[in-house]
Amino acid sequence: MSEVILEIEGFSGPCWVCKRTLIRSSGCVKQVALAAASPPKYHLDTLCSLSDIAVVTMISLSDPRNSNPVLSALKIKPQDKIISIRENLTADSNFILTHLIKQILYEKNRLCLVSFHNPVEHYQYVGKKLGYDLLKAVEDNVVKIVEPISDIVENIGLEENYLQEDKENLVKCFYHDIKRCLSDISTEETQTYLMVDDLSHLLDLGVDLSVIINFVNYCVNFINNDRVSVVLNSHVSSKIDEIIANNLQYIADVHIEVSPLNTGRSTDVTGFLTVERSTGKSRYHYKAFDRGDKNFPSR
Amino acid sequence: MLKSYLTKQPYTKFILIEDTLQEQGKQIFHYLVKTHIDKGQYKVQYFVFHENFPRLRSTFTNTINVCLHDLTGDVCGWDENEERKDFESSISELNGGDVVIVDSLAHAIYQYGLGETYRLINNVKNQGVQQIIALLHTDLLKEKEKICSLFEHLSTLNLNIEPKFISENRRAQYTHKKSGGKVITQIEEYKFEGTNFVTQKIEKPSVKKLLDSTQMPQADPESISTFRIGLTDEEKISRDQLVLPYLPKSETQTGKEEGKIFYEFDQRDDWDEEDPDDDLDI
Repeated sequence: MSEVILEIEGFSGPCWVCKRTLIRSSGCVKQVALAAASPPKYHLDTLCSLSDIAVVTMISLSDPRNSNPVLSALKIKPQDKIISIRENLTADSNFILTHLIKQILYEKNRLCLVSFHNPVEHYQYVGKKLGYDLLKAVEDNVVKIVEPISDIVENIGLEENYLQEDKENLVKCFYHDIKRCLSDISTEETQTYLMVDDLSHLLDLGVDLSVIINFVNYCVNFINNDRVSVVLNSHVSSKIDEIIANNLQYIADVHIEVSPLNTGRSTDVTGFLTVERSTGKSRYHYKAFDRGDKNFPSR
Repeated sequence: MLKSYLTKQPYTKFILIEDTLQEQGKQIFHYLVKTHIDKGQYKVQYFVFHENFPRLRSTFTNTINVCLHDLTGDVCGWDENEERKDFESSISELNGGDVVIVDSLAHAIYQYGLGETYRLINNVKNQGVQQIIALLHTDLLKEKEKICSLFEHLSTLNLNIEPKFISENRRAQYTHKKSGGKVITQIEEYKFEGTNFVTQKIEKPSVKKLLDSTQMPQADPESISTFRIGLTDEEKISRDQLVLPYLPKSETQTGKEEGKIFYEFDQRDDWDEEDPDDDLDI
């Protein structure tokens, strides 16, 4: 027997298989398909005949957007063009990025990953734990990685590229690298995501705040192409970092904030996750495990 | 009064709305823009420094008296876009029948510098336009006090969005410099009832109402604990009926007689029947 999850609107009525009359508010109902029926007939716990159901959406259990607790909390859709992630103090928002990569690869979309913070081996290692092979995706030209860290290491003592004196020129070259990568992997059939981890490292390279603000403008302008979305991560531990993060938050379609607990550390809860959209704010506590994260709603 | 200062003619020259992420002023900003568009009296010159230009343009598709200026595209000339617009060249084409909107003064400052932005806004003000409306996100500024004081000096009405206090309505503190020289500083509450912008003076709250609202709600132990604390009616009755064995019984209780002590005097006992305390004068 196959298992599916049906997402339903609020409904009340008799189940057409077991004839019980039940009332159900909207939510997910686990169903069991009766074998060898064509078209498939489902023994419905709480639903009436299919013609009476206002909205029924068939969702597979293997879809990480529903089965993965982090992705089901974020609910990122193609209409979310600007996604800002704010990492406060000692919290680590890397799990958000790695889970988003999982979703992007599952949806067979394209990704341009700009990593200031972690080497590509880190994403590959984490990806293996989460169930995807990032390096294979790079080989298949689905993912392009821009890794300034290795360039910085090579340029130590040379004052070239990322260590040059002219910081605006540095960011300009960086922008053109990203633009080139995006145009290399973009297609008309798929959504392309630009993911930057993270913007506050530009400050560490000595780039002026006004140049970073303008660079963010350029990144946001990539969404003028309907097939491009941007995911911009920023770490906040100083006033200047806060300005960069606030700048993103003003225009983001989805603002994700990861914070440590106010009262200290806990073995049961790693931190606090907030997902904010124009429609409202959702708050969760999350616990990081070796092979994933779990989150639960917080008041 | 705030609403009349914002919307009544003759228009106040330069409205500066200062806000933060927590206390956002974009609702008032969009209301003022919409008011000018709906009146249709003057052409609205909307300078976009922050929002995504195509997205904003799609919200103004059916409006004819709005001219949008894209100042987000290729701000530094990195794309070598020859059609790139410049704020100074755009404002040089303004005339007296225009209303100038600036969606983010902070981004204009980051693009052109503080001094240059101040000079350009001052030029626009002196150019004889009908009104300038600018939104300044103060939490995007490095030198917040300095920049705010500069533009507040330039403005004729500056509005500071304040946090809510006691009431559910939002608050705005404003300073209005009238054309006659009088300066009014006031805090008012405001709310939006649909598309209608309602402002009202802050009423002095009654002391009784304040005290009632400050009283801590009685914590219900039943809702806090994971086990049942209270008693059912039957349990209360059986508790009242319980007689504890070692507590003194009441005098009205009839029970066994108290024990008595019978003492037989010996021959040697000298028992005096008189009360030894008789001679005390008590």
